[in-house]
Amino acid sequence: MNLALAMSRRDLHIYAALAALALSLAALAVLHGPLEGDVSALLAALLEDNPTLSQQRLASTFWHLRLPRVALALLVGVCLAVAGVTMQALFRNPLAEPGLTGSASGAALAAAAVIVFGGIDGLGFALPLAAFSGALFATLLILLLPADKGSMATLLLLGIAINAIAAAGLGFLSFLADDFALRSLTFWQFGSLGKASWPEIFPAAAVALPAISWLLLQARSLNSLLLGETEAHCLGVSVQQFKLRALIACSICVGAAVACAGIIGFIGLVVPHLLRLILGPDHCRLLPASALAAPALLLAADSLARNLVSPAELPIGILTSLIGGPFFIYLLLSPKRNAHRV
Amino acid sequence: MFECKAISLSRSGRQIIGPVDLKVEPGELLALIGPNGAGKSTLLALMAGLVKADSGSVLFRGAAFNRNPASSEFFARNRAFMPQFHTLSFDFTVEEVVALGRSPYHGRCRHGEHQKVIRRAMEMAEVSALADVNYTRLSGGQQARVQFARVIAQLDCGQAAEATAGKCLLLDEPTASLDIRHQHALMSSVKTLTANGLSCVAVLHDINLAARYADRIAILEAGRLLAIGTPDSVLAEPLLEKAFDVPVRVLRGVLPGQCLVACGPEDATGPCTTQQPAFGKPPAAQDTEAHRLGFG
Repeated sequence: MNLALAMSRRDLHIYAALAALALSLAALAVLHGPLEGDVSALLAALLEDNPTLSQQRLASTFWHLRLPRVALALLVGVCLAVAGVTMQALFRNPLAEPGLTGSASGAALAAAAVIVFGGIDGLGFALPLAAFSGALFATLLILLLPADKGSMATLLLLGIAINAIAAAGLGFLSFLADDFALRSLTFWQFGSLGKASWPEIFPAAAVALPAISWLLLQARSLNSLLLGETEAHCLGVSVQQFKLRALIACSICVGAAVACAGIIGFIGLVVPHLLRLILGPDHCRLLPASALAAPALLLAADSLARNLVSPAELPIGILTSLIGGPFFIYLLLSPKRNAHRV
Repeated sequence: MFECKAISLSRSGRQIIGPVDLKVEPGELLALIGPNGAGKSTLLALMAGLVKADSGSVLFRGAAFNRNPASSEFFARNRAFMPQFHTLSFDFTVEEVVALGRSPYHGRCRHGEHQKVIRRAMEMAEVSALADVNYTRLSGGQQARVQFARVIAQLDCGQAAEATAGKCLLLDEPTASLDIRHQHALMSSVKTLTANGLSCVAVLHDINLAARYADRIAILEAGRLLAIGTPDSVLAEPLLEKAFDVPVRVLRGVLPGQCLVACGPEDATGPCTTQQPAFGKPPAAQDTEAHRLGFG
């Protein structure tokens, strides 16, 4: 029993392990890359007062390619994990994913429109801005429709409808697209951290961090909600208001993640699920643990994406699914599943 | 202390509640009985502040429920509601489920106090032995007992025996899925709490359970109170027959201090043929009657 009444030693160990994993993967990602030069060369390049041309190149790679990429992995991982946990709690269904209420497909549709009609390059902020607005618009549309907001089933069905409409729009745009745009569109939908740049990361972080922080503080309300909406109400949660805020916060997180990295599937669905098998459903543990584990998984996947077929790069969405899928199956089939929880 | 003043509620043009006037005193156990669809659960939801009445008001210690956070918190600590059905499907342990009842006290109690309250609630609901078991793997009856422990933990402010005094517990068919022993164990626990000043309103289907434990019984029919009063005064054949539309026999003197209610068609013949002494006493005149109704 825990529920944040006190933090047990075991929990601390798990947090510490996850944080160490994320940090070491982050360190690996910033220190190692396809570019020539090892760790000492990089350090020398960074500390050198009068760097040579190759040292300048290395330092610039570090500051403008590797570091933003790691920062983006952290941001996107936290966004997707926290949104995933929240959605699963709101819908009281461990199979809910962050884009359930149409935010991911709304973002995809808006991004596709920009790619097809504008070309992916040379548009600067248009693509991330469109993706973010698309995500937010899709969720707000569902929340503003005059349907019975009390029922999560209605919200879920509206989400399915919005997803279907967005998918149709996406299909139509693909039909209109030329070969180049089609390829860009396909790769965008697989997701990638390769386009990471500070001018995109800072605004995305500025938008997402308040939503993330707010969601991280809602563990107790989410726990109460798992009991049922009636029970949550009686435990002092203003259920309708809370659901509205949480859904908007989730769509902000998803929007920010999708805007910077395209659609990276699986993370938001599986990381919470996976940690729930280990830690139990208590959100006081699940939220922070997911926020640590998802960036770790994303960084691991990104390392592989960069190095497996170097100098080309695999779309990261393929790898997150490739790593997460088998591990997930292993956990589900493992006879020790829930062993500690009887 | 808990007061419904002329509350009424209609849904799609149909009056489903009221107007109902009801007052529950501190330390009182009020049983709500009535046929299916009479509005018992709805009345309880109105009292819990889950549904807003069309007119009239529900007052708890003089205050009406409203949606501002201070009021929500006050009500979360002072009134608990156990619904008829439970939807929790995540793998919490039993102890964690009971601990969820403590969330209104976050930051108000020390860890040890929470633990003490949780243990006490689990003992009361007889689920201590299940503390580390996965809630979702329990039977329906066990789950109901865990939820009972949770609502007790929600009301327990953690100080002394009168920890739940002046608070209110609303139970919607708490005994529906329990075996006979646990039905009585749960009702006895409720009585222990009401003896210390808790008010309780419980929807019950078993009239005999209501007769045995309730201080007062209210019969609800088509959203209105047909009668309210002590078990002795309310459990009368014409009243019950009107409410439930079934032949009823009220048997007095079979059990000490409690009347027994037997329902069913008059011509029914039960499978019991031998006459059993009621609670060790020699068969009284009424027992023949009880026997005829399948009560032997």
